[in-house]
Amino acid sequence: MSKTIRKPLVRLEKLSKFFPLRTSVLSIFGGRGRFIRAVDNVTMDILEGEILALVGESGSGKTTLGKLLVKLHEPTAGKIFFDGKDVTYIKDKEELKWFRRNVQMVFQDPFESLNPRMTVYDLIAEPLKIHKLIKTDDEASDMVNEVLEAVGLTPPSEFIMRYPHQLSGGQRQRVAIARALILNPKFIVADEPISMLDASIRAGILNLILDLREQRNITILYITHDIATARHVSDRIAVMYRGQIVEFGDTDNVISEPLHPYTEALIAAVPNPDPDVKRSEIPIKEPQTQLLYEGCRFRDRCPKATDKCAGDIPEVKVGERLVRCILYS
Amino acid sequence: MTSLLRVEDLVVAYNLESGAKLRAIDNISFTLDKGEVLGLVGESGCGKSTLALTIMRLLPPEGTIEKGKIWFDGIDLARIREEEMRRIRWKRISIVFQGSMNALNPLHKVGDQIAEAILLHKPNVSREEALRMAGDLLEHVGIPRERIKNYPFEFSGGMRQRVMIAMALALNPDLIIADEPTTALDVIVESQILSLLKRIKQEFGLSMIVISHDLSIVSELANKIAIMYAGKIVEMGSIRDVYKTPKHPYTKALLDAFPRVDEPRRRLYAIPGTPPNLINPPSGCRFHPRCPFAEPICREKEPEPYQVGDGHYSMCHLVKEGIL
Repeated sequence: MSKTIRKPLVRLEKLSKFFPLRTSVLSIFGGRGRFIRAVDNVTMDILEGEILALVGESGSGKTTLGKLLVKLHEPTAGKIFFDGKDVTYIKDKEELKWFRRNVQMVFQDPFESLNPRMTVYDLIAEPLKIHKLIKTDDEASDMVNEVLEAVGLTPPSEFIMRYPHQLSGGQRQRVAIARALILNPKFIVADEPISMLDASIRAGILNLILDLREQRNITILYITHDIATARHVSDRIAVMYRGQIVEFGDTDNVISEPLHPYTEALIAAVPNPDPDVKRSEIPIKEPQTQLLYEGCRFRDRCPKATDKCAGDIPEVKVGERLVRCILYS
Repeated sequence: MTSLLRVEDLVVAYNLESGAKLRAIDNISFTLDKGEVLGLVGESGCGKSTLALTIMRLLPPEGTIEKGKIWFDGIDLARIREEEMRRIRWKRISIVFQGSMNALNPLHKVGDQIAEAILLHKPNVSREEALRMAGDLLEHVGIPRERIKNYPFEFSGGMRQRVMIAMALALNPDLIIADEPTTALDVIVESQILSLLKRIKQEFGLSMIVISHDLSIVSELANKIAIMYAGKIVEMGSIRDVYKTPKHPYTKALLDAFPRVDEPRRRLYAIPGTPPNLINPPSGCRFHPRCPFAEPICREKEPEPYQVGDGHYSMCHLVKEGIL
């Protein structure tokens, strides 16, 4: 990683997404609406050409945040900027097309995200046709072959006429990535792209993500529950907990010296294949409620929690790091 | 002899609708001593879950034990009738499945479900007694006893997995098979379940078979490990020997592909190709199409287990020839 200052490609400003929570049928009538705060007032930059890992457990809001970024969700509040433009609410059709061409998503499940009735060729060429980026079939064919090579499905001729069920999980995920790549996007959101794949296949997909950044300078948000893979692919890590970013910083620093007690527990909990390495497990309690929206969201589980944690917890800068914990403010 | 379980030359096949036959387990042998924990590691389709179902005699109708013996305390589980197996299943060998949401009945209180299991096998125990035992078991796995009155949906994923472990313990078995016991759990909860399994293993003096696609999960619990690939055990030994001095190219590749959180950032090793189709497996060594060291002999001849150290075996021609 070069140390030159890079400009942000994506900027989130106080971004929130709340989902209504139906506790009972009666709450439809009158009852005061309660909400799940899936994404709660998140502000952050994603720099051009970086791989940013968004790490969190299930229910942390990481997938919702990813979907906000590709405009599969409308935010409840806040703003999203892409390439300097406010893209929070795009009305103009041409502008929306420009956004869709430049921002692509790769989903977790390559078994569900590909239409089973389409061949690999049609799956990959489809975005080109939708965006009317090609004039002739030859042109399309050349581009499909090129991206198939780029994602390691070689020789392309062996794959183009296959259907998804004729591919392994890893190959399907490569097709999903090829489909995202064909539009030559600037930004890809990859939501748990390896979690459904076998151990021997995972590293290949992670290396492909590294290559895309290296060779095409694509900015990537890598969403994962697995901080160990984040450690090996990302330049920076954002740790998300119950809708908030609780720690954000350079990957090497976050891993070697986590500041937030949640990050610390997360890293300490990773099982180790070396039988001589003993984990120093941190005693983390079961969550008391899913709807903890004042003060620190981790305080019901945190071994370091004090009375102060119920108060307002601002995000503070510790060196280059951003941390949301009373221990540092 | 102290071995509790001895599997000899086991072959299990599925008869597919197409008429084809899939050998999910192809000539597997291993022993498990009393108090030992054996880890079975392999990718999906390698046969590790089939092995668990075979030992429990819970194979689906299309699966059959074609050959081999499963000696459990002097009884061949591969041969006994279902009625005899019912006296062993849950009572002496129990299993913790992955996906505890599906394994618990959503309509019954957790305590009733555990009590039911106890009553079924111990008819002279009263219902109150069984419920008291259910409460004891929940406390043992770190759940307050009053929660016997709760329904499964009132528990988190980690808590449900604790309930499943309590159920597996209910009849005081000799052997527990844990099939991907922490899959789908968050990492902090996963680490707590692993610690719980470690603790109950000690407290109850259990033997265990832990099955996972994840080497690190198995390392946390097992003292002995078997690496499975395409229906075969390709390497077996103490966890320390296999981790520190892997003697099969597949094991080496898996270790190089594994992202450790406590090592410097590196490009992970990507194993080329994909796991083979077991209807028509590769000739010779099944890993040869993906092996960077493969020689002609690897394609031609099936390797035999070769002893490389004390209780450490590798099924690799090149290791045997001293090339690797």
